[in-house]
Amino acid sequence: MAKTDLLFYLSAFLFCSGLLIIFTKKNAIMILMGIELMLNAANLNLVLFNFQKTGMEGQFFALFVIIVAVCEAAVGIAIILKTYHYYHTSAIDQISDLKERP
Amino acid sequence: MQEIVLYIFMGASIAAVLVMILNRNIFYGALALLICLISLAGIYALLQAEFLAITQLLIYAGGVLVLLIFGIMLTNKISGKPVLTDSHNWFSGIIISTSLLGVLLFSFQQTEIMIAQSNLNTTRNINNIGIELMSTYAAPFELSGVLLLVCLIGAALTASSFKKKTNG
Amino acid sequence: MTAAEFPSSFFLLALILVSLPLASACFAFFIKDKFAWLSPVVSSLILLITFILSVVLFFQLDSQSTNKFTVDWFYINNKSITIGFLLDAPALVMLAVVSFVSFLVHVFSAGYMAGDRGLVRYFGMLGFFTFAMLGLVMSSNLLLTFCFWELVGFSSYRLIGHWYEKPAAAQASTKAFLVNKVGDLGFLIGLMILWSISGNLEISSLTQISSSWLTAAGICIFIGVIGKSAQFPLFNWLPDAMEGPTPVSALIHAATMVAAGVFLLVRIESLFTPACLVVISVIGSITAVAGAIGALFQFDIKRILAYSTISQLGFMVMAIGLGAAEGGYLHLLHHAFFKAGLFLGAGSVIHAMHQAQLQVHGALDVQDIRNLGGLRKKLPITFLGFIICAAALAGLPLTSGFLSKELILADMSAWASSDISWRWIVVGTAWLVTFLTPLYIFRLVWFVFLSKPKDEIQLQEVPLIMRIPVLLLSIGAITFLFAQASWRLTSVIGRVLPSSNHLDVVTTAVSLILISTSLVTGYFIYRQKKLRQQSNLLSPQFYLDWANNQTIKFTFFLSGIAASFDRKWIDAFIHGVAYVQVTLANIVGWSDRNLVDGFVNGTAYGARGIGAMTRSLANGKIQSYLLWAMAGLVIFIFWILY
Repeated sequence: MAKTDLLFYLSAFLFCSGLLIIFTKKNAIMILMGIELMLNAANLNLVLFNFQKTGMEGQFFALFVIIVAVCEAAVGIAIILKTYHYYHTSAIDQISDLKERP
Repeated sequence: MQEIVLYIFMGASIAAVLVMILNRNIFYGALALLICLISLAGIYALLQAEFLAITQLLIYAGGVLVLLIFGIMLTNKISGKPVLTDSHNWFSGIIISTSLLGVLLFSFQQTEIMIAQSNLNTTRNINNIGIELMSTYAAPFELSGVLLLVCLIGAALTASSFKKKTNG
Repeated sequence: MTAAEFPSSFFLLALILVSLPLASACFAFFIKDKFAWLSPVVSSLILLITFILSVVLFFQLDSQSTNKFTVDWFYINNKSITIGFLLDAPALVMLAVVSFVSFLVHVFSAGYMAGDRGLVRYFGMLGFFTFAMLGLVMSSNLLLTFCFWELVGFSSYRLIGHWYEKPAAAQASTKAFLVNKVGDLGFLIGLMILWSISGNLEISSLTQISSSWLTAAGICIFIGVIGKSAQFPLFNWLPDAMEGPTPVSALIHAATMVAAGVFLLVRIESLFTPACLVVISVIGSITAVAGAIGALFQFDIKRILAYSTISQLGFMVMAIGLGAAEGGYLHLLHHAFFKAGLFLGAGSVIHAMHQAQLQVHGALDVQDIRNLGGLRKKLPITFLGFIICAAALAGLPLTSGFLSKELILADMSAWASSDISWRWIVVGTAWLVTFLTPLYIFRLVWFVFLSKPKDEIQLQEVPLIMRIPVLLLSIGAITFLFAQASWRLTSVIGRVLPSSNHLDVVTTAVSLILISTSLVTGYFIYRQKKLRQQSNLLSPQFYLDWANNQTIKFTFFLSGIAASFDRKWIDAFIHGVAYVQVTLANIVGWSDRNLVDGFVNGTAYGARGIGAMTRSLANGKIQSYLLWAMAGLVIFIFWILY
């Protein structure tokens, strides 16, 4: 379909909005969601190229991306839980132990 | 017909993303992400990547989202009030995102993407995927298995809290 | 060696002559107290030898080829100052007179000052004074004369202030020294002028100088003479100098030191221009009159004699100013004898009265003539010597004083008759002095010796040692009577003073009339023996002292003005400069603190600010890290692609 070209723009948009979510949201879970969004935007891109080319590498790549994303989400959640227990807050900007002390 | 569905899915995902950006409620953000993922799955299906669409639905919508919602529950004090977060860095974030978007869009415009017509006729998609998975992509397949295992163990260990045995 | 070779015995003898009194002084100063009684004897002996040597030198004068011997002393700008002896006839005669009078004074002092605590010091200074006086007489160079001039002044200071515990004596000695110093300043300026116009201070070469500054030099040197010989503005030290012992007054203030000025005038006579001579004669005449008037109204023996000295010195100086240098010099020699005799006679009187007072425990002022009288019978020998010397002073015939005075008066008439002018005023004052001199000396003799005594005091004649010098000096007062007959002395005088003067009969007659008139007047006035109270108004010294005080007050006033000017303007200026300086320093300090330090601090703040700014990148917030990373990535992509 010729209109699939629009999907490129969609994937770019999704990617950048995911970036925006990462930049702006204070909650750690929201950042994780932003990451998932970015990954999905990349997936969309891959599938799109797969649709437009011969061969099935795109799908496989997207499949493995999904797998890795899942792993990373799981570990991320675990880390967030740990930091939440340690710092008693889930707002990222309050965790600044690595701040450069004068 | 397909185009309309395509536009519906596209619009849904865009709307969901907008909700995610603008709404301060985390839970609504999670639900919006769910809708976005589902619409993405639909788009995958329209793009003749059915296995991937199913996988997407199963894993993302059913696993990762649940996981995220669990995370939300566990990291916020649930007290009946909706969990709201603040947001900051709007200015610089929008600048950078917009510029990156501009770059990507512009580069998309510049490329001429040839559409291979021969790919339009694939019937036994899942069959092929299975065969390829076991032959051509066997190594990544096994490795992803190992990866999953490691992540499983790692996440479990990380998330649990060890009580140190105190002497005396 | 410019003149004769040194080994000439003539000059060797002269050198010994001048060092003998110095040896006496050294002996006196370095002797132990145990042998203090020895010093009068030794000093007197040494002075006797000095006198004999001077006579020997005098008689050797004929056989000498040259009478000058000089040695180069130092150089100023290739011109040399020489020192040495100039032993011409006037100098040798003066040497003999000085050493003779000094010898007699030594002998007299042995008796007068017996028992005095500072005896050794006294004889030492006496010897030193004689040394300085002899050196002054013999020196060939005006600079050397000036050195001895100063030494003579110094010895006079020491001797006047011999009894320094008496405040009057200490003040008098200081006054003498200071007034002399004023004169010496003039002398020094005169020397400098002479040096600059001629480059030579030798006495023998003074005749060759001619310059427009000669008058100034002459007047300046004459100022020195004014100070030393007690002439008109500077004579108020001499009456006060009578605080010293009487032998000192005899030696210094009658015979020698005050005569040094007149001697100097005689030596440098060729230096004086007619203008100088006018000044000299006027000042001399003023002095003579002032001295005579002063002597007439004093009551202290020694003060009367002091004023008499002033008057006679003025007379001598006036004579030199008139051009009668021969008469002036001769009068100087005669004056030395009879004035010393008068002083020593007065010393005998004082000594005798003191001894008498001690015995009856009286408290009279022995020097006041109102307390004395009728000593003719009690002190006959002293009276004899005294009256002979007094006659010489008055200028009675048959005395040496008569001879020299007539010479002066004759020359004076000759000088004045050349034109009718102010010169007749000078002549008039000279006649006035001639009238007054017998008057005051008659007054003195009358009240001390001839009149009836106030009360009966037992007086003993003074010891022989004190009588003999008086007699010897009185012999000197009459010896020159036979000048016309004594070929030796006339030839001497003839060689000393080349002149062809003779006694002017008219002048002599007039002076004889004046002398006899004054004696008769004196007899009739003082027969009644009523002396008024002494009033200060008639003492010339009083006026000069007042003038000195005013000068000193004026000087203090000027210095006060200068001091206040210094305080107000100069100090204020300096304070102002200091204030400006301090203000500038404060400004500099402020600018240093605020600008320089501010600049440095500002740099530090800037660095810290920039550091803080860059450090703010690492704020521990993940999202900001991510922001910056993505920004970099975007920029990188932009750059690569476009």
